[in-house]
Amino acid sequence: MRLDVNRHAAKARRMRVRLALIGTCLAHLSGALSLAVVAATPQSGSPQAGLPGGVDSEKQMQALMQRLLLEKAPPPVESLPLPPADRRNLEGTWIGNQVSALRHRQDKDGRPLALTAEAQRILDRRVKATYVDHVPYANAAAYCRPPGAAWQLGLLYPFQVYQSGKAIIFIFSEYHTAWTIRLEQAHRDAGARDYMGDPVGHWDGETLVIDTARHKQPLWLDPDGSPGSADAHLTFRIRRTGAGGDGLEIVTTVDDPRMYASPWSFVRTYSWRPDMEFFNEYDCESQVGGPDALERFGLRPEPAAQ
Amino acid sequence: MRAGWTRRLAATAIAVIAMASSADGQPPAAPNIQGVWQRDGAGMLLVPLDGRPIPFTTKGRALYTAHRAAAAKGDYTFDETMTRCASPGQPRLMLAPAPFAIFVRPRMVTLLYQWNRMFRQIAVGNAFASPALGERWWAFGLKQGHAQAEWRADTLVVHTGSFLDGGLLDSFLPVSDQLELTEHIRLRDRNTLEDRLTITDPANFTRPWQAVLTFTRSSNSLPFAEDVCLDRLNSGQSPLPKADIKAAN
Repeated sequence: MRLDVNRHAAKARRMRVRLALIGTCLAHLSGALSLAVVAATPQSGSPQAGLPGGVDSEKQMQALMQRLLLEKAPPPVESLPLPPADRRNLEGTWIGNQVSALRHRQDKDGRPLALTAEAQRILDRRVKATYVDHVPYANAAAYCRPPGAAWQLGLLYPFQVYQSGKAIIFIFSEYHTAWTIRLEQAHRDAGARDYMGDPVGHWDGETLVIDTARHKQPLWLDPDGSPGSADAHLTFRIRRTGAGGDGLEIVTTVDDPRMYASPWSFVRTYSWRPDMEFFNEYDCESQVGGPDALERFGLRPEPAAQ
Repeated sequence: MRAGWTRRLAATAIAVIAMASSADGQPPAAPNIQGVWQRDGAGMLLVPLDGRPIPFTTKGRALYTAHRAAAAKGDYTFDETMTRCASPGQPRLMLAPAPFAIFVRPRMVTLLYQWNRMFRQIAVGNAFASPALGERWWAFGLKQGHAQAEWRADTLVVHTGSFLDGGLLDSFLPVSDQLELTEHIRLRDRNTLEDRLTITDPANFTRPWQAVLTFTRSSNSLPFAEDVCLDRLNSGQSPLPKADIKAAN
């Protein structure tokens, strides 16, 4: 009996992970969440989206995210390493511990964002594609390209930090992405641009300050698609929080005159989670890639900016 | 289902052995395998260490022959790394002609490859003793496999299983879900890293066989230039170098 229960649990877990493996490569988080919830835990009253993008309201999306967050709750009993004592040591495994904003409407201090006309047009089109047409646009992630740090840090999947003398490296569970920060160096002023931008960092006391610029293509800053231009400057102020240093806070400041009338900031928080240090293998190019990828996942290419 | 349980039991057994041999999974005197490494040589083929022919089973030889014949015609549909930049898996990723970095930590050794930003996680010691750890992936077949290691003196001994059927060990050699890969990774000298592979796959080989890869400590340093294989592929470049068909076994 015990074995049967375990087998059943293992089967359910496999299904959930399979769905997560597929779903999280979708360009839009709504697709991932609706797939995971509808297929893994069908219940009356839960959103019955027929298509990956089939979520009818932001409230519904928020509920789905909350559910996903609960699935990531830490195991009850484990003997696991404590975070390092040195607050300038960010090494370890971290995962988001809050329901991220699907769309940033105001900055961290409650001030409404001032989108430029171009940004508003892009955002409106993306929101309509997702919530009205139910066929979201694909962003870099759906094409198995590194989607940028702001998007990557908003996913409810773990990441790991490694530090060496000259660099700090974030390795993400999803999209096999590495975000490597050069310490105490200036931005490159020429040459090829990267999908993850050109991140340079320095320590301000116990806060790591990372400035990322020169992205290869425009960014999605949140799941609804708040736009960032390729020339946006994103500054990440990262510090450990809590008495034991087992929290991580990242304040992201977006300085992008093309899309926003003034710089604005948002905050995300993360928990120390050594129990999640072994990542799912994410072979995006095999699992979700290929010429028919967008169609298979109910996505479509985004029209060129007008 | 049975295969999944067998793998989990095997992983647990390895973990128990590791616990017995090293209380905290740490080497007695940590060898400095950390750093950035680059493969010696550019060949994309594994060569048996003993100089003997690869001990193919009938099935293994048929697959190998078919792969070579297809590649000779320019047909790489058997190889989704070459056609769509999918993960080469292990040990093929170690053949990529691009640097990788090694990070040694108490519970994990991590290899970060420049090639398409891939990484490999190797659990050290008893890190996998609890089935509640990780992102719950051990019941899956994997391109890179499920790697569990222990330090034996100055050598990191890595056992990797749970491979997906249908992959490739190198440009042509087939992988089945029975593959068990054992690696002895150590420093030959301060600037030379050796990875001695023992390949056991009864579906494709009649007996275990060995190959050795060596790497030189690289002058490259982190960060690596961002490599996006799909962009290279779309611009007409090969994801990995094409193997010399004539040099194949």
